[in-house]
Amino acid sequence: MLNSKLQTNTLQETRANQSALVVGNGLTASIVTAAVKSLGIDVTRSKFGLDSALLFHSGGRGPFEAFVRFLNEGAFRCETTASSTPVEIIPVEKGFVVTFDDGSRSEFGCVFFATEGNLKPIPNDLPDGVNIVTPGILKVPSSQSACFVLDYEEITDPSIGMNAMRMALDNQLSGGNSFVLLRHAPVQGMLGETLYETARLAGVRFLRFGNIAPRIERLQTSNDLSIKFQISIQDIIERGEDILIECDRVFVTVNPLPADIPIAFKHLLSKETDPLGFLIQDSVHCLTGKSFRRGLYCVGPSTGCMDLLETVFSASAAAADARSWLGLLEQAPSSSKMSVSEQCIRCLTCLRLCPHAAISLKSQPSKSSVNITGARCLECGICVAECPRNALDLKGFPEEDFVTLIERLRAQNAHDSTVVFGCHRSAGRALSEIELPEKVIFFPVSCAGRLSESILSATLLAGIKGILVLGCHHGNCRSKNGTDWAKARLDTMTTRLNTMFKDIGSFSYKTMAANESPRMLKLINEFLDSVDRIPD
Amino acid sequence: MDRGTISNSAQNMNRTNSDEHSKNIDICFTCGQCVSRCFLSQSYPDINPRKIIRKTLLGREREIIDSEFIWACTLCGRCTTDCPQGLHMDVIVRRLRFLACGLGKGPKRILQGIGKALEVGNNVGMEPEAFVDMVEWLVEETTEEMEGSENNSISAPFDKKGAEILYLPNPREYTSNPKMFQTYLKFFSYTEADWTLSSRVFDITNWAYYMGDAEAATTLVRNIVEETRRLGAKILLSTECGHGFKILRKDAETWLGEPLGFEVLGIVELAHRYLKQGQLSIKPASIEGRVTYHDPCNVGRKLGVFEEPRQLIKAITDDFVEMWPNRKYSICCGGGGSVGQNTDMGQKRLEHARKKIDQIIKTGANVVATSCQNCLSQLDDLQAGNDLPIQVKSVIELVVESIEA
Amino acid sequence: MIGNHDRRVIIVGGGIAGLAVARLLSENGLPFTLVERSDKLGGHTKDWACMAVDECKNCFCCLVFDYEDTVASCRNSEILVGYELSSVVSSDSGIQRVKVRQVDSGAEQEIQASALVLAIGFDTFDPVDKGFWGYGQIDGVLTLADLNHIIRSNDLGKLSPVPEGALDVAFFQCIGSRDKSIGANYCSQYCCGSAIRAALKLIHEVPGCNVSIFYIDLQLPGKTTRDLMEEAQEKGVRFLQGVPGEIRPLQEGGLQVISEIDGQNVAERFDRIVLSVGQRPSASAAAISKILGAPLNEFGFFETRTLFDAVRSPANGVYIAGSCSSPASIPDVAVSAGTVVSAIIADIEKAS
Ligand code: SF4
Ligand code: SF4
Ligand code: SF4
Ligand code: SF4
Ligand code: SF4
Ligand code: SF4
Ligand code: SF4
Repeated sequence: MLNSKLQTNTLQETRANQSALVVGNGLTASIVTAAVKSLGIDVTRSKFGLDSALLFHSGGRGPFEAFVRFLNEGAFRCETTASSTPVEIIPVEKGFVVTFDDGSRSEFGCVFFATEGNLKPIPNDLPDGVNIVTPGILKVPSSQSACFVLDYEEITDPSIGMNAMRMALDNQLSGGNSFVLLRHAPVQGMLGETLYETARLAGVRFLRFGNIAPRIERLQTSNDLSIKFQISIQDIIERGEDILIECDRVFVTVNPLPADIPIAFKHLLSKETDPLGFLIQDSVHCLTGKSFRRGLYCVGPSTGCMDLLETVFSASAAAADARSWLGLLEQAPSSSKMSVSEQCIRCLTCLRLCPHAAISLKSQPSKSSVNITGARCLECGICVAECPRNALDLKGFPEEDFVTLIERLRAQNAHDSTVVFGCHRSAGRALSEIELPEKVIFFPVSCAGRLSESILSATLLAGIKGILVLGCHHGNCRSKNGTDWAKARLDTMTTRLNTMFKDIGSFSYKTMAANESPRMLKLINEFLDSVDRIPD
Repeated sequence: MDRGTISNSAQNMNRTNSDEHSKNIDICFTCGQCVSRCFLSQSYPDINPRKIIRKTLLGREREIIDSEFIWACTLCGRCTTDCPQGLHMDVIVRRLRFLACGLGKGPKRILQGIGKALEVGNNVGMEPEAFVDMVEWLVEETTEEMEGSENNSISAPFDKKGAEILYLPNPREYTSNPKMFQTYLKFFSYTEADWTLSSRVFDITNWAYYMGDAEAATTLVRNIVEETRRLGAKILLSTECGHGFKILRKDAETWLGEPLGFEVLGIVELAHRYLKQGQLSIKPASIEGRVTYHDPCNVGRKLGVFEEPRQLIKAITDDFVEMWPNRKYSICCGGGGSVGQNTDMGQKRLEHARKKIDQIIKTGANVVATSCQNCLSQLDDLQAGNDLPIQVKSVIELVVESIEA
Repeated sequence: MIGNHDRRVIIVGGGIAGLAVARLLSENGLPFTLVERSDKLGGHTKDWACMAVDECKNCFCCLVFDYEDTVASCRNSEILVGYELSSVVSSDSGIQRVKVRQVDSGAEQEIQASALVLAIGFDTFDPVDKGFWGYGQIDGVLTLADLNHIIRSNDLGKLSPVPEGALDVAFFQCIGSRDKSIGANYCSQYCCGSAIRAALKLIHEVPGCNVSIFYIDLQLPGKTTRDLMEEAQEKGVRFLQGVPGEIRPLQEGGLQVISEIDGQNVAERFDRIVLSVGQRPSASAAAISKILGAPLNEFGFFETRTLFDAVRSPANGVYIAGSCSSPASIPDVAVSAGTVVSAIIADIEKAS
């Protein structure tokens, strides 16, 4: 399909003799393995977690049979030969060193966290015999009437909801009678609407409830084989008396539950989870399987995604990124971005704080030293700003530049000037669309997290009116919490300096994004106003 | 209750629904757009088109059949214009009305009218001889009126085989409002049309359609079609009657299951054709005052005849203003779909027409033109009932006035 | 060396999808030529506003700046702004050469190609076609895109007819989506999330702003969107099922809509109504489909091979990224771009 001349020239070069470790027992791990292998990367598999793939949803897409076939055969049917489980994973210069429970230890360029997930338990106010919608139950026993209740406790994830819709349709088509009770009909993907329409036209009855969830009761029957339920529901549009539905089976949808994170991953992943415990997969910097730690990928149910197709796609996307990462590991010379001076006392503050796991401890016979992986370091400068010995410096954005700035301010006797420190990826970009007011000096930084207390106070003490720091919005910092560090330092300093000096200029901290130029100008002007208001 | 069933009524309703559109109301996904587009939504706050579908689907159509709403609905179709699922509310309401009639809840006057139409051929029960006499008297009257003018060859040919045009009037023209018939007589005379009347079939209306009675409606249409074929007319010319025109143009072939073999034309379209051919001696700026145009739902929204009447009016006056919204989005006058004929509904149609009145007043027009007998009589009533400073005229009336000016 | 190589992956379209593909290709050492017809990169995303309210709300719009920066600094690759695809030469093994044309001058140039990625994006639905909502006719009716432009230019003050007064805003969902009457029988995927974010933004930025969201069904994929909705409810956003079909200007100012609330038809007044317009296939899809022999599906988007092979076109050597193959939100686009690059590399691997 592609011109073969191209590949000889491009691939050899970047193919590193490095491999990927895929953690997980189930279908997700197989999907990831296949995706990674197809890009010419060697894969080792290791065990962890559930091994069933039954918790996957088809998102209601396509003929169900195609989905089942996909599960049973095809490219993703990989044998798991792995017997060992990782007990420790440590990021090192050329990837990750992994220790397994059998005592063995190997190095991998990248690691994929691809474990299976679980669903929340069935709501406990439901009577016995009510089932949860999982693809494990592919069919309702023939010609029975079945009721599918979506959005029961909380709004159902659309991919799970569509799965229920698909089951309802299949049951209707095979002679049964289906009802779907919901608040929001799920119509994900281009064909979602078509599925919904097909189901309606096939005779599946959809009822829409409001804040009051339907009441599900089990009718007393002697015969266990035909369980019977009675459901009463208020249709929010019809609005008449409650509607009573009698049916043989009831299925309720529940949302996914966060996956267990192996102890081995805890220190790596603990900062990568959202408040619910899912691995972050929907923030600006953690899309397409990526995490903040380069080379570490999270795909599938552990991220809250229960949709098979989405998992296939994000596995492919993550694999493409992994391949570029392996190339980078091969090329980037170590410590190219950072210098570590003799002042270092190996307190490991930097190692602990680096959001990208770029710092490792190199044990040497004589003495150990901290080592910075150039491929990982994004030059946020958080480590530089927090090092108690001032032992670190970024080569691309050296401390010297700040010193020059401060000296210039001093020399100019710039008491009517204001300094704006702005993160280059937000304020730095927005700058091109605005014209700065007079007497405002803009100084781009690699990340607001680079602004140490000493830089901030030295700048202010140069005799200027004030400092405005413009960081990225919380949650959008490329280094996860660089912007928060900046804020915290400013807060501390404001208190400290205010007690020490009376007539000092003022600080302010604001956040913004690259597409907010007009707002940036407004923030600067507001700051100037507030500074001017302070009586001399 | 049957196992797993709410009710089968929705399925029954779908099965008996023969109309191409809206075969299956299951397709409604409750988007709600129709709720606000119905001009009755404020008059009947606890019912709306979407709820009608919902109740029917859930087996509670009895509540609707018993409600007044289905008789207040003018079948204007505005609610489901652009319905994302392609449903047509007028079709659904007609089906419900049919179910209501089956339960003996149909409006007496309309049902009687249908009976007469099936029996005698028109909903007023006029015998052919009486019709011929009536027309002859109207020809005399008109001739007298026109005494002295250069063009006075008024005549009304009956059953003339091979005439190009068979003209089909609305009973309003030869009962309550003979001035209308005279207008058309003059129109034919001024345009020297080759036309004829039928002494057998002289009622374009189809009240059975209003009641969702597909069988009777088809019979009435068949009578018209067969008569047109018998006389060998090339054009079946509809008077300014919204639903009659719409049925013949849009539904007749489907109902009969065969091509008609002749053209169905509205008289406004014919006038427009003459205008384009330079055969219409109207005079620019010959009408005094500001003119606006009300799009009859059947002629406009359902048949898409928007520009012909406007071009005619603009050829006559310099001061034409549009109501807003107009054309496809025009608000119903409130008197259609049998509401105007249904004596059970009393004068409610006048109360329901608030939005139309506001719309007209806002234009500041002195003349409201339209091209549907039903609209004309409703607008007349609105004018009288509210002392509106307007005159209500049919488009052809304006054309004739302009020719005479 | 890669740089000496003259066969490239041609990327048609420089919106967020094209940029995402370009970035990942270059990170993988594959040279590309990106062809963008308009005079700037970034597409729709570049014009949209940041929805952060104290913290980032993951609207993903600023992502395009990250992509653009990486792409602009790519060596061995080429970005042609103001160019469009004019013809291709392909063989059984795929695309061989393409010709691109400068839009202004008509001047053509030929490029040796190894593969071609379609990333031409979508067109925003123009609600002028649906007269009932009076877009373009009634003051105060705007689209979600218009609202974004207002927020982006930090002009929110413009929204309140009376300064300092209360501002009642309604969002109408699914305008131009989920609508068979215009052949758009699909959900546009992005607008529920966007409207909720915009609602939160308005409440935060405009004192006295009340927001109502009229919807058919809310699509809340993923945990963050569900959280957003809960947050919106806490902040007082009203969620109402059923989208009013008509907007009427009131004599005394403001806009009247009738909707069914708690079973009753209720008329309400709003100052501003925002139409959440959907995604329609790009106007240039048909022409490009012809040039490449890449078929379109029933909705007018580019067809893909199968359910599980959703980035390859049936036309050999043609890959499809982002919203030109199906309506998509930005995360969907990012994933699809990654999948395209993965497929291209996999195909190279297979051929070797
Ligand atoms: S924080 Fe500074 S002193 Fe501590 S280990 Fe890192 S470089 Fe050394
Ligand atoms: S600069 Fe940032 S990314 Fe680089 S090593 Fe320091 S903390 Fe880590
Ligand atoms: S507009 Fe159509 S789809 Fe929407 S609620 Fe009304 S009938 Fe149903
Ligand atoms: S057809 Fe007209 S009157 Fe009847 S429900 Fe629809 S909008 Fe209302
Ligand atoms: S009377 Fe006129 S406006 Fe009313 S429904 Fe009939 S055609 Fe429509
Ligand atoms: S992702 Fe959206 S909300 Fe977050 S910072 Fe970027 S533009 Fe703002
Ligand atoms: S995302 Fe929401 S608003 Fe957009 S088309 Fe889908 S359901 Fe409608």
